[in-house]
Amino acid sequence: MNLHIEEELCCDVLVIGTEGTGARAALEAAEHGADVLAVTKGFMARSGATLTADGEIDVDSRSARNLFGVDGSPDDSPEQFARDMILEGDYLGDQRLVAIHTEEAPARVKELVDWGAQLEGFIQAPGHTYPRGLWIPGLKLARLLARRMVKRGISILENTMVLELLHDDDGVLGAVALHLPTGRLLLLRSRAIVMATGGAMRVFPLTTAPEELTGDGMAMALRCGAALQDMEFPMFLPYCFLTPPSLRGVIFPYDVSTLMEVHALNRNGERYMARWDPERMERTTRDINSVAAAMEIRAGRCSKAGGTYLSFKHLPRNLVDFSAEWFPGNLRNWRASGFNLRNFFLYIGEEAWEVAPASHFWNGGIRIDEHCATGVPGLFAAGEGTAGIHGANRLAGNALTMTQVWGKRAGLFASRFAKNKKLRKPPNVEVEHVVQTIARLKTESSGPTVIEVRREIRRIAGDLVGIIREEKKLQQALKAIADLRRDLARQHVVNQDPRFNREWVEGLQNENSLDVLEAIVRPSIARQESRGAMYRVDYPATDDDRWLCNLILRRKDDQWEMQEAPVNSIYLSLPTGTRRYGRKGESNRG
Amino acid sequence: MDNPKLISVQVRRGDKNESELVAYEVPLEDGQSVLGVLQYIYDHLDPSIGFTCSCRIGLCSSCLMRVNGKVVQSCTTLADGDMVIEPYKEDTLVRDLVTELPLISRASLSKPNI
Repeated sequence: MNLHIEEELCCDVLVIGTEGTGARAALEAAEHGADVLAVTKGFMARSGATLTADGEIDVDSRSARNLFGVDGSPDDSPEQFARDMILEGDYLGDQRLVAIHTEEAPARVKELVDWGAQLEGFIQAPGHTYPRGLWIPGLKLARLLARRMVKRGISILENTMVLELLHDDDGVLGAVALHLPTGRLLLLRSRAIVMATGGAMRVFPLTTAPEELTGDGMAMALRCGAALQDMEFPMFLPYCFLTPPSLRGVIFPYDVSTLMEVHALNRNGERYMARWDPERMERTTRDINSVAAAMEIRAGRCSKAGGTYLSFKHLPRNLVDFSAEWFPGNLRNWRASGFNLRNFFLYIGEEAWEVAPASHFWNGGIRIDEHCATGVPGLFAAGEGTAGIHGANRLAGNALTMTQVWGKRAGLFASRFAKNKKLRKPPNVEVEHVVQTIARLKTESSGPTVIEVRREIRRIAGDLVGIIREEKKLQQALKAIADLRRDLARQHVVNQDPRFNREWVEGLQNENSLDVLEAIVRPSIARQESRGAMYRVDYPATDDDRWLCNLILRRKDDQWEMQEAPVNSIYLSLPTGTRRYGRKGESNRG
Repeated sequence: MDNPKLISVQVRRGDKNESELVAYEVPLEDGQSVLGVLQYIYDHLDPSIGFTCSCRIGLCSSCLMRVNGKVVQSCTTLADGDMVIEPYKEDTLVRDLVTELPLISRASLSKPNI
């Protein structure tokens, strides 16, 4: 690996991530006159999580009706939408941020439509009091924003992995990045930075998320002095394909479970949901479905491949056949993302599918205020991988809304910040420090390979952290992470070709993923209750008297600091007492 | 799988100046994709192999390749026997199966590609 900076680029606002959030931030910052450089690890509009979104983008029903003429309810309002978000987030959302979110959502979707987005439908998903999901497939959204960025003349750097942020006591100075096709190190100097890198779903062994989602942004922000919040709430989606291997993580069975009466079965053929929600069964919320499946797996009642079964054998064949015709657009004719399920199953409905909960979304992340500021001067963050909007759990369809509302805000406030700042030169010693960190990926190292380290991270995440957590296993995870941290400094890389070196990328991602994994484990140990997307088998109740607080993590001199912060509840009062996991808490006033 | 069937996978390795077909033996799992086969080679046989992918579910087109002469998304193409995997276009080849020139819409970045 070349151990020096080969190129230097300057800008006002450096945006890291170019999809839903990053693109919107870049467009906004450019609109306000900033010279923007947008960087992505993959290809623009051909990587990242946005393009995998089925397509709902939520706005309150009344605004949807007024702005777009869809069949929305006039009784809904941004306030009611905010209320649903706070409830779904099990009261851990920052109510100031939630109010901004629902207030600004309609204008953001209106912009997309003005820019050429087609609304392909309008649906009501579980958890929403009214229909709110306007249908814009993620791939179309990503392409729309990418075209607009190119047209706007925004500087875009693809296939470039940002490795570390540079900062001093006065704030951010830029970043060091690896240009993947050439293996050259770049110094990106900027007045402000917007972190829009998404979640860390790839930390877990089964996930719906693309390759890039390894938690780089959260880890870099943490190392730069920013705080992480609500990290104990990664969200899992039930009923994702576990096998055959090419379908791993495909969410189609979950989609089917929302459209037809399906049976979730363990190896004994029992509909185990009866033990969790006898009324709604498989139609209960996503978190309960995930926890129930994980409990079956944990109890050894798993399927052959280690998951559970999803069956619709009880339905008549002509009914099943007909569903191929009426399922919504991108699911029609047994299209499961880019797959045609007819290539895998002789007759669909005959066999049960082997499924398991997959890591799907990051509810927590970088702690931000209403200006997307992180507390590190000049460092802004938005979108998935920031905390406070969704609290402990996210409503369906609200991820795309988040990209637009918060992407725009981050771009606006970062460009304002940049206007008053000088471009300062990062001290050589700090640049050199980052370069040396990267230089650790050398062939002569005697440690485990980057592939072994990745496997171990996923083993810890899957076996010791996972969906069902308990003190004993979390302590084992902490120990395993500490052991792995020692190995991390001497990861072994076989290939030293600088051109598109997958091992280098993985080795660098491993460092970020391990930081993020530890940031899940620590608050998971502290929080002795079950809430939202987090289930503790040793503390299965939701305890509103003790745990209505956000857990905030910082890292200083390689030491973790955790503190409890009261939830911002300026609109909806917080519930009291304890309740069964999954039962909604009741606010005393609205 | 007790005794998985072994398939022969030939991958075109190298760059515009020089390339050759390199053969690997890979155990074939039922329902595995071509991308899964490449991941197996990278994980178990040869980590120097270069390829790109992102969503792995047939949406992003980051994993386009020429498999047995036909340009396909490798993630949604099932591996069902011996195969030859090549870059899907030669003129913009970076290395091995990485064929995309990244977009660098910035004049100040000199010598943007290689």
